[in-house]
Amino acid sequence: MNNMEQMSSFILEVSGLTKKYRDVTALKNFSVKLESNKIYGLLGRNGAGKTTLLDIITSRIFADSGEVMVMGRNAVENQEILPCICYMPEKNYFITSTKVSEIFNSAAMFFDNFDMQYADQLCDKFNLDKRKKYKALSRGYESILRIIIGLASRAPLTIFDEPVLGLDAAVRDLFYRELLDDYAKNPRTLIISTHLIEESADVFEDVLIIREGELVSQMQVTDLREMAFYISGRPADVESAAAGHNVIHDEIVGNVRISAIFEKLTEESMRELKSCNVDIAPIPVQKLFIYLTDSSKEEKL
Amino acid sequence: MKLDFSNEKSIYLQIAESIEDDIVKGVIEEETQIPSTNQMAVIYKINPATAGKGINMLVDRGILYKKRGIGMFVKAGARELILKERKNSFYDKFIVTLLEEAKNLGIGIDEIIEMIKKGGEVNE
Amino acid sequence: MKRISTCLRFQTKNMIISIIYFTVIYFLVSIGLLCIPLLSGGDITTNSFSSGFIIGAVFFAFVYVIADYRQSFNYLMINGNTRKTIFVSSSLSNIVLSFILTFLTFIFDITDSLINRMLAGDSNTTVNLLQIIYPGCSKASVLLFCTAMLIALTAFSMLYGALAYKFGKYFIILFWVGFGLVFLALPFSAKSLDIIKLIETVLFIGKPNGILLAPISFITAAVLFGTVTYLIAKRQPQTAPVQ
Repeated sequence: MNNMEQMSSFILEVSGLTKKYRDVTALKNFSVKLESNKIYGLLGRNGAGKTTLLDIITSRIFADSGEVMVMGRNAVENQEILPCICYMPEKNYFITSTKVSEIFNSAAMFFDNFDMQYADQLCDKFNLDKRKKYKALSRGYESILRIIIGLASRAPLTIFDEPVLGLDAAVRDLFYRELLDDYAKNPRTLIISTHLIEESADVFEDVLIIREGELVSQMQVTDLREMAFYISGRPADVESAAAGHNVIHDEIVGNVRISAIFEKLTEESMRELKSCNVDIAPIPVQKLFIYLTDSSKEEKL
Repeated sequence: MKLDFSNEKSIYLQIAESIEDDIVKGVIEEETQIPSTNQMAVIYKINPATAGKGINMLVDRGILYKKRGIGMFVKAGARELILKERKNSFYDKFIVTLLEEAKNLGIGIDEIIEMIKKGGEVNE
Repeated sequence: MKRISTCLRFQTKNMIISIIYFTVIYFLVSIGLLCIPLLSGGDITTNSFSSGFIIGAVFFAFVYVIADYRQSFNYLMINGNTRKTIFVSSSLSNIVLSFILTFLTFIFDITDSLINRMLAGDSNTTVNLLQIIYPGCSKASVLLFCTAMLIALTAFSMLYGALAYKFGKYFIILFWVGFGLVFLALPFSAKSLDIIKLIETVLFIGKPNGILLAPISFITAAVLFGTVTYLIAKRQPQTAPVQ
């Protein structure tokens, strides 16, 4: 596998993916390139196409057109490539009458890098009883099981779709720390699809924002935060200050106008903005995400 | 050090700044090692690359240096360097803002000087 | 190759557990049925073990493969296997299932002989249905016939499983309504004699060494079913479980 990784610097290359369901186009000519050994966040509203994209990448469903290359090889129905990808979907596909320990044993059979010792450690940390049958698990523990398998698989490309559903804040916190800890010790590529942006944004290195089946933005999280800010003040002042910049949201509250700007500003532009008669404030990531994925917007960012 | 995720300042800048603070206060001494990016990542729940960005910034500015195979260390003379840089930006950061706010409130220069003198006495 | 054998190991393990359950229950039920004439002092000869078993095995195989299809397909997919791997592994496990069930039939046949010898002092009173249809055939050829028949049956079950996965309850309802209609209407239709003749031809009934030739038809059928199954399964998108 290492030879293949060196062949292409991108672990995943998706080009021109299109998928239609009756009258809905889930993915529109979707293309993206992911570098190895990074944690990617896949962000998007419900129905934006995140799960469809992940299902296609992992050969669970077929695209109408387009290509999926993993480690430089065509990944669709490729038995040599699929064992390198561990995909933990949101829906349940486990056999409900099996015990957790049996599910781990199966995973160990099929994923070469699966670390049973690490899986056991995680079971202790997350308090998961290996002797329980899958159907006896609560919603939260179903998620925990998927988290443990995903992490313990140590697959070169590991994908989680909504991994923290049904988990309380303390357990979510534990997940992020475990993820970062094991990622540091065993670098690999991880894609995490989630709608909980506020708490998870800084865990990611890069984010992919998907809106209505299209890739709206792919950038470093640090850039994302630096590029987004509100300017507020008198409507006329705000309007003139915002002129020429990429405004992604606008609202008027009483006598105050608030505009959201999403743009990489030079130091000079920033100073210029600060000299205008407006207040500048950061945009919380959650709000930024809403603005960027607003379906009424036309432009690509 | 606590990270303020709602702060305007980027996380990696906050990390860099707080390492500098610790150096100035003497909490981290020169020629001692600082936590690795991986350690910081787990403690603050941020991606190691983000932590690394802050560290690299400090390396570029000559405040930290890398010892091959061991980790990141505080460079000799870092404290001096930080104090010098901060003194330079003191004017932009504090004075300009102060004058602007004073203008908004209609406080004259002389009044400001009086206030500073008063504050100085209290601080002693 | 390695992947197929891993899948096969997984599927065989599950299968054996079910076979054990089935066999044990069948054995206990048969013993129980045997005790009835024993206690009432009636005539005691039995071939209920072997011929009964093969009939039970037919039902077991049919139901097991259908019930296992969806969950195996989904579960093996989650563990990073392609549809082709899953198909090959499932086909092979069907063949293994057929061999195991036939082997158990053979074991039960011996059991029959033993019990008959104990109870009636005579070990040769067993009459096998197949020995009536194909007069003078050997026990070995009976086993060959059973294996081939089970292979064809399980291939059919797999096809059923694939169609049920793809079309859901529409297929299932259609199938059983159709099956019911055919089952009821056939005895009364003029075609029934033609159909019986067709079955006789395909199974080489009345031909010399017919029982050795019938497996050819079974294997051909299995290959046909398998081909159609593969054509359906190779583009099958994964869907959520019914529950």
